[in-house]
Amino acid sequence: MQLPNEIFIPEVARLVSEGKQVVFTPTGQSMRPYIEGGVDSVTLVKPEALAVGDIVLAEIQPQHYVLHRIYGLQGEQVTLMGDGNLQGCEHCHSKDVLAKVSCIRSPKGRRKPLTKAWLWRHMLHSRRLWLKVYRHVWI
Amino acid sequence: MKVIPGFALRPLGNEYLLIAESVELVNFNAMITLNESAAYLWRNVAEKESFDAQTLAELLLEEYEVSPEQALEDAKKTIASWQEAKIIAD
Repeated sequence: MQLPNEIFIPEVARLVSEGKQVVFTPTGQSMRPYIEGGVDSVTLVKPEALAVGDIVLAEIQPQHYVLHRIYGLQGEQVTLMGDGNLQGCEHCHSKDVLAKVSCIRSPKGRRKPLTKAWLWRHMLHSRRLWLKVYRHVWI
Repeated sequence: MKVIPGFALRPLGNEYLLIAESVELVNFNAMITLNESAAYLWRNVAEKESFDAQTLAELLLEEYEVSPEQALEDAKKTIASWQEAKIIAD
């Protein structure tokens, strides 16, 4: 069942702010190869102590939400990018980061590695090729 | 039959969500939507030791302007959908 984001995400943010962990299955493929949209589920927690490499849920414009990785932190300014994207970053204030991913699970319930993806973040130039390989080999 | 414990009813927009929820965790992968009348029924049977279609029909008659036949038919449909969603057990 798919709820509209403008209803669903604020509810998720509210529950997380109350200290609950929230599990849901994100859609879209912008976090390949780390999160397979519509397949993998993520656990969200309060976004304390943000760091580059964290995967976060953020409101980048009013009622426009992304679940992307932090690629840069400068003071309170946060730069985000989808691991499956070849270009284009989003920017927001740290207060607009609503939750942080603490766990990624495959449909079988197995925990997938939650890394900071240092290497992946630094191989933008060859990402297109690796995403192509991923799509052909794993999907 | 009786409800399977661990689900919380939450209003959201014009509907209600029945979500698998514990003190620490809310799982949106295990949820179904209920309309207003189904949410009313759920609230009233959640604490009961057991219930059947007749119980739900009586609850519908207390709250809504429907005939006994219609109430029983709706109650049976509700039970069938809850069984399919695996949120109640015998």
